[in-house]
Amino acid sequence: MSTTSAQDFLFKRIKEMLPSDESMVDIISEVLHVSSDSAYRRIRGETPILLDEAHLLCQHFHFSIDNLFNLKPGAVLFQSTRINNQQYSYEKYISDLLDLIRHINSYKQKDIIYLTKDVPIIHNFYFSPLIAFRYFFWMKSILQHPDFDNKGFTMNCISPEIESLSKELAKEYIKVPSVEIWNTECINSTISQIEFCRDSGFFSSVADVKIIYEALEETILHIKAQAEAGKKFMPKEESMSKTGNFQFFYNRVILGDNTILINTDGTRSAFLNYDVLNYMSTRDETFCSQCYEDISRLMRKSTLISQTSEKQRNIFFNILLSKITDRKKNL
Amino acid sequence: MTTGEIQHLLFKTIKGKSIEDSNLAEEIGRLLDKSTDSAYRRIRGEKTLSLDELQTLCLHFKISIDNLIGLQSPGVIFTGEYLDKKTFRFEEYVNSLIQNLSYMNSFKEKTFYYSCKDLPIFHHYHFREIAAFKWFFWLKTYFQFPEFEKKKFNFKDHPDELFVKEQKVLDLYNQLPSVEIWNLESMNIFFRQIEFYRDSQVFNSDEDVYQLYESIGKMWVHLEKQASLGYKFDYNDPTQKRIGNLKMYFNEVLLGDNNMLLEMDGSRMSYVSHTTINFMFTRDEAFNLNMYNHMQNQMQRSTLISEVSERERARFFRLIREKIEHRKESLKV
Repeated sequence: MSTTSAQDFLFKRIKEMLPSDESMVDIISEVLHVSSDSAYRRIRGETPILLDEAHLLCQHFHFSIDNLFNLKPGAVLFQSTRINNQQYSYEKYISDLLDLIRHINSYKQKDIIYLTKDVPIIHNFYFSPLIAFRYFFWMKSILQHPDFDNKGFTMNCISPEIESLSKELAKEYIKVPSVEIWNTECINSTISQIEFCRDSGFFSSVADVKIIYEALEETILHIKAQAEAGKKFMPKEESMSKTGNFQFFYNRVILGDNTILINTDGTRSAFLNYDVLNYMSTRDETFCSQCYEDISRLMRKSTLISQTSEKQRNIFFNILLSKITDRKKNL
Repeated sequence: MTTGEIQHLLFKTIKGKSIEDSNLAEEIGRLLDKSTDSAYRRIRGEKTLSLDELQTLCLHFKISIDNLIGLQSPGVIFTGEYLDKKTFRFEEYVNSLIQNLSYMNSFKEKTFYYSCKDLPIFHHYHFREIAAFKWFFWLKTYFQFPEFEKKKFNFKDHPDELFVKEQKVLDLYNQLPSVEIWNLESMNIFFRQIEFYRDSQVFNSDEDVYQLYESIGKMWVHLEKQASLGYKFDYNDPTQKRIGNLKMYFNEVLLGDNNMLLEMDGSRMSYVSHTTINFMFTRDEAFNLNMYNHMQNQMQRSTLISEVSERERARFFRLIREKIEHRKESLKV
């Protein structure tokens, strides 16, 4: 790959990262301390950028210079968000997700399309027992946080701050119009995880397991109520949305992979979930529009069960609820 | 760090790669297509390197400029061909699988990790019936090709020459020492696809559905045999000659995501799946280390059912076999 394309790639990625109301030329001229004309010439590739300029730009926008040098056709740059127990805590992760949803809500036109493999993370945050369990499982089994090494589950294993942030996240999410594509398998991993903790002796009593299953049941019933209304709202609250803001699809033949597409005033971003909680995102136009086409095709093969198709909706949610009921019976 | 300091450090690193001072300027001049004098000016820091020149030097001398200047970036570059309905050709897709697997096999030391959400694609190719169904499902339902719109499923439609290539894919996969992390849910979507076609009357008869389940049953017996031996072998080989090593894990906690990790002669490569059938890969070290740690974590929380843990292995295979048998029994055959 020639430098022109490394340079071109760098400026394209910078453009993707900037909010639509910010001028790229102004930012580049400010970072490089050059005139607007000089910035334009660099953006257009007429003036090759020098080592010090590449260094300044990469430092400012958190890009890797190595990545620029190793590009291949079809390369897409993702920004990765990865929790670790040292520099980037779970609390910071939830807080950043909240900022992200708030940022999405600041746009006039916005929507989220979620091709889900599991119960989407934010739906876990309506009821305290489920919030506590999710937190416990992720900290102990996924992040392997040392504080949880010899710890069993208790309802108060989560700090009030993290619980409050989680609920705040759910409250913010209900304001964003969204499309979710589910399969009846989506609930399986949550159930497996509760069973895993039960079998491993992490619960101090059967009563705790029952409380968590009940919270999961309430969660599913609440998602069903939102699908029925075609609007999102918090439990025991009225929807703030005057028009419908929730489309729920039932796909029988494909289990999603937690691919998320976000549209804000015509700009698309794709978020890909990996390793349970981590995600990476891109605003690469080609990649996002291809994802959008793929997901649209899947939607055409799925049944819309929000607001309409009451029978199909009942069948879908009854399958999920019966899985929980079966587990509760075994307690 | 100033530009001068970075440039100084870069040339110091290049010198450290056992190039003598007298030859350094000549070598730099040759690489950058400049005179020896110009090369000297760059080495002495009198002239700043352009991005172009920096790239040439870093790639030639295999130097990480990020490491040199302590640049930390959350950015990860992924590369992958997006499967586009307008240009997609199944044969080419299979060819690319052959190329990728041949590349992986070209390394001396290699291990392939697969976190299964669904039945791994390589296992579609033990039996022609399964290969034919999956091929048809992709073209009709996933890509929605117009010529498949009203078409019913017929085993005979699956081209012979395609199956030859698909078996090559399996053959190459068999050579690759692998770790597969399975879950009880990993076969569910396959069963749902069959049921969906049966409900939609895409099959000509229940006999065809039965035949497909028969092949899945045979594949399942073969996978169990491979797990018990701890290595892969050809289904048609009565001597069961060892090809590649296999470690199989039964994970009851997490459903995989079809992500893959390849370790080859000390380096790593991750394949990430998205929008259900697309893959892209990265060589980003930090990302791959994280993927490796995640795979290790999954393995720690799973039961190794290849070679050892006979009881757990029997349980895992029995539970899925029961699903296959139950479906066969419900057919009007």
